[in-house]
Amino acid sequence: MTGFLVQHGSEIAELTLEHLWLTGSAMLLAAAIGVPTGIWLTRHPRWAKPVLGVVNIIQTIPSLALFGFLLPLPWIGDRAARIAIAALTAYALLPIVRNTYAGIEGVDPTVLEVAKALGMTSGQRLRKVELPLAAGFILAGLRTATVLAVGIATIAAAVGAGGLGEFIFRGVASVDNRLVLAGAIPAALLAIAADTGLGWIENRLKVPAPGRT
Amino acid sequence: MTGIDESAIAFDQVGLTTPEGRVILDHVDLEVATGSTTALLGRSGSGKTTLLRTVNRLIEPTAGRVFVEAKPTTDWDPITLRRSIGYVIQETGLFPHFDAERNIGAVLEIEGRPKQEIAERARQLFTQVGLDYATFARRLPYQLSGGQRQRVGLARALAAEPKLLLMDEPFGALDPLTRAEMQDMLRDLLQRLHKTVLLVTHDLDEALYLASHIVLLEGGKVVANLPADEFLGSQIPAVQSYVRAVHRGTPQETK
Repeated sequence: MTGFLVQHGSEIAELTLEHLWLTGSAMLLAAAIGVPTGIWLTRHPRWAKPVLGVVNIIQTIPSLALFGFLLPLPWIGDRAARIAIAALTAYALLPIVRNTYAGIEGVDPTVLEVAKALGMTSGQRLRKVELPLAAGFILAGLRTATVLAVGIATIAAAVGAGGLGEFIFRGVASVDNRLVLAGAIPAALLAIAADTGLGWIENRLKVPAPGRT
Repeated sequence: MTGIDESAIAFDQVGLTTPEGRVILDHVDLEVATGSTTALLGRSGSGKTTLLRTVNRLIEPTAGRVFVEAKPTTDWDPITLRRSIGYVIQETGLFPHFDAERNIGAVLEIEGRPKQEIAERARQLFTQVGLDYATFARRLPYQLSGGQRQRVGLARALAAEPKLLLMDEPFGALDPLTRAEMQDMLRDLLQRLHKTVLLVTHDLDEALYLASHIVLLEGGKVVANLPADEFLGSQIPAVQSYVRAVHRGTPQETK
């Protein structure tokens, strides 16, 4: 075992970093698309159903198939990493869009009416009231999406995008459990770390509601 | 009364009919004199809250016009109009994620006033509504009692020194003792600050205690508009039956 670690240690570190890069950039992209989309839907509720429907359908596509579908797209070119990031972004959208939308919709209407009555503009209502009050919910969506993306990113190795999936695929092909674990354990640890870290921030952002007297 | 030109708030044939044809407000004519406290009294569903909300354009009437300082509300920029009117509602109106001090300074904050000015004004207001700054400034609404929350709500409404104050059942959620305390504080404060107040309540005693004028609404119509001290002795049947209904428990029949 020690010998295995000595032999593969630097490769594990390298692939873990690659894995982080794939999921990290996909999450940034998904948040940059998903949060504004969720906000936009609260302003145009007619579109909520169709848009949420589309991101929902994306998530039902088997990940291996989605990576395959994206292969021939010209704007992705031949860079496998870009394909992986695009696919992971698409998967991460649903929890982010849904939670942003639901979080803002769930803000107490009385509080919103008071915000309006005090003379807040609609931009101020969003920045000072709606987003802060929905923040815990939005972060919960980001957390779900991140854990999901860390897992799915292992499939990215199938299109040559690298990441910890490399070990898993190699291990499966050569029937070497040590290789499978060398990919699976760091991937699991990454997921747990993301879950714990984001969960901690999420708890700090939650606002206790005033109780009745 | 005073006429639209001199009154702080005036309603001119204000009506509101829902798209389904239900009449909420029915040709309301009413003038609220500058510096007066007018109570809108009536049972639930009489239209009193709706009438109040037409003043700061949270609701737009479907007929007639509302004047604030002799200018139709539709000629006001809604944001400017709302910032110049204090607004207090029952219990839940505080921002749950702002501490007491930030809640109080909210209007000044959105107007972009300097931090120093907001902080000074907030300290002043804590004193005015009878709260200790050091104890309460950093507390979030859920860490305050109902009475303390209501004090913070009142301070927030006063922060930008509005001439007008709209209050919708401000003490509705409080126990009778806290309520009496708040009424004393408010009466004292109003006497000193010389605001024009429109107060929605269904509590006759509260109206009698705080208001200079009492307007009784029924089915969206003004059925009585009287100086407070003439209300109990009024011969208007609707007033008599309201008074009888709420004073049922107190033996005051004289024959």
